[in-house]
Amino acid sequence: MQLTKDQVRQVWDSDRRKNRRGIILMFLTTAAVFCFCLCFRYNAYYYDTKFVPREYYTSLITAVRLFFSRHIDAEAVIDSIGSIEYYGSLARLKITLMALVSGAALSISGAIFQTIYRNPMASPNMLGATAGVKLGNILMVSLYSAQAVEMVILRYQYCYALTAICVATILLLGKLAGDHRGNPSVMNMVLAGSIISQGLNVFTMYYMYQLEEEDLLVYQQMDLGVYQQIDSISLIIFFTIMAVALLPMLFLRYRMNIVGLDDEQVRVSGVNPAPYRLLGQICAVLMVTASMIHCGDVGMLSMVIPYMVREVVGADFRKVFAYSALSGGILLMLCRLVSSFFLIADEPVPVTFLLNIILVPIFMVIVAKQKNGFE
Amino acid sequence: MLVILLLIWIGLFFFFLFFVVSYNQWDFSLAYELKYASLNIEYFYNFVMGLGNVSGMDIRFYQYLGVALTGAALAACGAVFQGAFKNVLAGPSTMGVMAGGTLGCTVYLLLFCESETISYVTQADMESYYAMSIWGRYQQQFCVLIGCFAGVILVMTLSRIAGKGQMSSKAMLLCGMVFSSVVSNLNMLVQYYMLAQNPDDTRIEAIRDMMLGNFNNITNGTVLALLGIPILLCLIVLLLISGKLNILSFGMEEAQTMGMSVSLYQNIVIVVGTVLTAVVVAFCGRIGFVGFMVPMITRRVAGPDLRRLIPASILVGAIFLTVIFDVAYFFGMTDSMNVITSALGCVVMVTVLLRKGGEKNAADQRPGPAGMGFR
Repeated sequence: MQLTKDQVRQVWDSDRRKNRRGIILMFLTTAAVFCFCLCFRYNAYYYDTKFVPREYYTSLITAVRLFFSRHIDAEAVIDSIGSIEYYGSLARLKITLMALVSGAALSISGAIFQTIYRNPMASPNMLGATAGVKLGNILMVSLYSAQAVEMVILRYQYCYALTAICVATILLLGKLAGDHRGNPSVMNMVLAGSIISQGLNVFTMYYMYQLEEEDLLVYQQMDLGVYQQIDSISLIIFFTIMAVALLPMLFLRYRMNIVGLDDEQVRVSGVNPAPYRLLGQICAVLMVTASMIHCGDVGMLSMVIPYMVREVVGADFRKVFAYSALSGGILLMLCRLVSSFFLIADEPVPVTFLLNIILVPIFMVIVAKQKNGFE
Repeated sequence: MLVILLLIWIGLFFFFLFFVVSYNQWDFSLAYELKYASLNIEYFYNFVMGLGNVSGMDIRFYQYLGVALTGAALAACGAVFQGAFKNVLAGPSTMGVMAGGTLGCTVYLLLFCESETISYVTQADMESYYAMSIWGRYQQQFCVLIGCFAGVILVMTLSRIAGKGQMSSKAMLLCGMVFSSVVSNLNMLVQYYMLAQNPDDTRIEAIRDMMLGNFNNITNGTVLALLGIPILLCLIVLLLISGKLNILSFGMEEAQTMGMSVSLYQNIVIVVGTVLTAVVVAFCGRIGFVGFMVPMITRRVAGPDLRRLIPASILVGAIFLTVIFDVAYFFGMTDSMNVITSALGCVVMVTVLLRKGGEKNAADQRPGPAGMGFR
């Protein structure tokens, strides 16, 4: 049976409509979760009423009015006093937005690596990004002690240099250990990554225990993501890097589908995959490093979320891109919210701990479900 | 060859025992060195004859024996794991033994130890310490042992589930990797809470000793016996069954066809290897990558036959760790042995991966599958 052109067009249209509906639903969910997260009090465990939407938006509007007005708007300030301070409302907004973007960036970078290497284990987290960021942080703390938290630009330089060196070394090793046609052997790459990360972590530990106790506490707060940097400089750098890394991927999401194919098939379709692969990896590492500098060691997210999304929506990179970005953002926002609720020994629970508790069992299930044990 | 290795070890043992000086004591003259060595020989004579005035020579003697035993244990464990699981990367640090030990230590410190800031040791403290039973004195070590076994059992169970009832070495390595990353996360969290509660906590130092590995614990015959007797027993067991383990390295199905009960011998290997590593971790902390490097080097000399490889790697391990310990002693870094061994281990690992890739390029000319796809 031959389909006419109109019938094909009809099928294509209905398919597209269905996709669009799903993505719009996901966007709405994300927006709802974002607004929901904003409405909770800071340090909610001290208060009886934890969920305060009206007060929060009053304070936010006050803050915005103050931001755009030349003189202090006394009425608005008086309105917002007693509920949530208008200053804290902006901070809450910044933190939540940052968590959303970080989660999205992490899961997109995981999706890129998984598409390029066609293996759920390949993620920047496993391939040395985490170790690089940790080493950069510890070097900063041991050089500048507690001021390291404030010196954002230098911290970015250190972390980016070390991460770039680590990831490039491990990817090159994988390439050299691969077969004669230049296909990297992913399993060897992941194992090399894990062992080199272990070696680097030992150095991190060595520096860590040379520190004074107060500096050690500062480093651990950095690494566990207890506090987030929300000063204007770090905001500008963070969002600039995210834009630089996310926009090319957004425009190239059609091409990434081809890149994920086998080498011969790519040649047949008339595309040279090498530049796209390189660009994808560079963007992924850029995103991961920036989000790990600000949110702590949350690399597990980049391994689990894209895999789960792929299980649900299929292997089309356009869909995986959108869905995994939004779901990663939702997960990180919710984790940041929930972690500010609980206290262990009079200290809030770090985000990374909560995230790992949620994600590691899922990861183990993924490993268990894999046929032939990843062979 | 074994006799030569044994002679080398004995020679190095006494040479280093008498001649090695820390660099900040030595004025880099031969006369000082000779005088120091002759004094040392005199002290050693006093120690052997049971006379007084040993001036710390007994402690150094025990420590050197402990170092040699540790190296032998780790190297033998690595050689057996690599042979039995047919994977060069299988070893005590990648299979969750060391991570389990760390977890045990952390849990012990968290639950059974009180936070103390005062570090003066009074006469009454010493008396109560000597009045304790062995259990009371070495509680932490026993907890580490239990932790090691729990870690191995967890990793094995997970990899059994992942391999659908069969032992897949790669799944095992991955599970071990994930387990150790989770443990390091937990460890970080516990340290963070300890520091946040009390910045001068002495328990942090216990964790540091655990993570960085040293031989300061081995100061008397009791500790040496507790360390040495299990290690020697396990080494004898390994030497006795080494012929059978050879069959195991052909692969599971071949071994089954040759009429061997594979699971029995695999379990023996796992238990013996775990005991070897666990004892080391309990008394000396983590000393990574020895069990991975030494068999690798030895295999180039002694060949893959386990009947020759195991005794050779036992001796090479002892020599190797003795040399490393003395280099560390010269530079005053004996408190962080793990750093030195890990740095060496990373370099060896990189070269091994590269060589493996080169061999594969030469041998495998037919085009294979380009990697692992989803499903």
